[in-house]
Amino acid sequence: MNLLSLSKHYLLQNRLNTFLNVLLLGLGVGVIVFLMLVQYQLEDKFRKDVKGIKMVIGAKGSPLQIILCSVYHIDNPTGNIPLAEAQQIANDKRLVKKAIPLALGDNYQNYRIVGTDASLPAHYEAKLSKGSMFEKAMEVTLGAKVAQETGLKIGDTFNSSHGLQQEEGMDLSHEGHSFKVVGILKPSFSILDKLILTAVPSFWLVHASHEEEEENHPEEDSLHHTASSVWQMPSEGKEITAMLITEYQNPMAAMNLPRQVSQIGVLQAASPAMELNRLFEQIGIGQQIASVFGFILIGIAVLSTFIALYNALKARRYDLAVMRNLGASRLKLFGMMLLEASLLAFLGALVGLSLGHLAVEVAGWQASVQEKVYLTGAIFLVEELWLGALVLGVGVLAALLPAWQSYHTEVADILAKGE
Amino acid sequence: MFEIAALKHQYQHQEVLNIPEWKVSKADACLLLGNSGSGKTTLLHILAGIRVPSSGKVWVNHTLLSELSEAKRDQFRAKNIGLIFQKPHLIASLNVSQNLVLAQYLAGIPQDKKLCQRILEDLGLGDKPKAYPHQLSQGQLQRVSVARAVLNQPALLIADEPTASLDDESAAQVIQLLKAQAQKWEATLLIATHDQRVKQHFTHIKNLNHTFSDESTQS
Repeated sequence: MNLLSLSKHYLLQNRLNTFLNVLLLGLGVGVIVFLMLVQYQLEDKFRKDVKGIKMVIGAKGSPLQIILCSVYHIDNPTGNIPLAEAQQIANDKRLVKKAIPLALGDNYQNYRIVGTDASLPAHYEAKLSKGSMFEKAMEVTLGAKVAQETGLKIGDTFNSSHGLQQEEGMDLSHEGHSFKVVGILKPSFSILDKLILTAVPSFWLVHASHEEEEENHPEEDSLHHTASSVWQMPSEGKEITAMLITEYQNPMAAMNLPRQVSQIGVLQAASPAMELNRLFEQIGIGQQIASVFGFILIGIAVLSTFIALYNALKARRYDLAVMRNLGASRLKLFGMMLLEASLLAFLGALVGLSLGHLAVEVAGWQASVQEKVYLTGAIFLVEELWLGALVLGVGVLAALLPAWQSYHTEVADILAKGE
Repeated sequence: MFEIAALKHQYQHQEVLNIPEWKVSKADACLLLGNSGSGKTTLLHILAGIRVPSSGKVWVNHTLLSELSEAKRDQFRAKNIGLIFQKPHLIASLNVSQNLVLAQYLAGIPQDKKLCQRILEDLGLGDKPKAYPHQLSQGQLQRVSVARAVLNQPALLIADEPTASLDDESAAQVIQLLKAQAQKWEATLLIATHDQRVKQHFTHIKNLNHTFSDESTQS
């Protein structure tokens, strides 16, 4: 027998009350833990994917849309940009040291086919699992998840569909131009896992009009065989979707480049860092509202704990008097009340943490089914320890008044009344 | 044993207790008679160190209570004084055995479940250690409270109205039980009651109605 087992017996005696208090506290903590874990993982994911990309240049439109489309591949392009103008930027040795071309517009089983060059997988430090990196037009290297989900293997061929997502009931496949799988990447846990990479000229080939095809354009043959940089190719009549600037020539270029881009009529520069901050600010408002909801739940639970302990104290006045009579000091009774509240808070925090992690795991499973984002409940943040400590703290705080009253229990008066 | 000298106690400037002198020896059994409001319970509380008298001195087992701090008095009471109330109040969330062990824990003495069981058997409750208070009859509850009071082998065993609301036979049984337990543990027994039926079991009787006196002088 000790104070802990005594508190445990009291809590068990009032099972329903204890259960409800723990549940209420657990729900509050769970909501906050859920938000913390999701926010952390989304931000982490977003920041990983944007890694090292200083600027994105695309067609005029929403800068956020340019970022979401070109970096995260979750939105549509704002349009295409002439290759000539993109080359003008990429080849400006005063400003740009490294630029990655992007050409979007097709998909295979909802996985985006991205026309680019070897610098994109290199930027994400992607490693080959099988085969080789695409070199010629119509060769593709698959992201790890694409290979796993589509079952495509080295040597397989497929036709792409027009658009960034497969339209239900519509056949928009490009017949006559088959892509050939030449390589599969190892999982990189970046956006690359969900992309099909190919050379930019593949797009020009696939999207060339039938008339152009029939003319047996001499250039097409060269496209099939070239591995030269997009920035050096003949640009006449050609377009890409966007370009990622991953290295400036000098720090000043960060300021000068957007100015230069804005002078070229159809181009727009977007800074991932700025757009992400703006996005997180917007998401943050929703998160703040949900967090407030979570804290309100915790507040209600703490109030409920206070009421439960206060009522329990009234019901247990004679118990406390008897315990004093049996030798319990005032301090011991004070400690017992605090311990009970701490136990409630501890259980609430434990339930909340478990619920929060479980909910994230379920949400992660749902999200992975819908191919949106990867979330897992199997991570633990230091902030959760702080949250647990906070809950314990307010739990103890809620018990202070009942504990103080138990401290001042007048044994003689209570025993004399014989309640 | 206990000894009282020049004890006075007041409630809101009204004197409720005035005992010039009283000494009860070790293992003696005495009865304190008095009507409601005569100050019996107040005297018991003062003897138990629960209440501090307005003036005067009280020694229990050779210890002057007024010299002890409140915390020390709590510990002294736990080890030296066993208290039995009119209502045998047990902690409802604990079973019989746990209620007894609690008394040992709060007194700061080693928890001895075997001793608890021996005492329960002695009081005819050998099969009830796992029973919860709500599963026991009133008589069984009273016996558990006696077991709890004698468990720490106190020098002074105090009972406040232990026979109230009991029939004659049960009242006689409780008194015999208390006397037997006090004798067994060589404790001084003091019973406070207004129940005249109890008188026949005692030779040392004090009356607290109006003034503190020997029962023989009142009757």
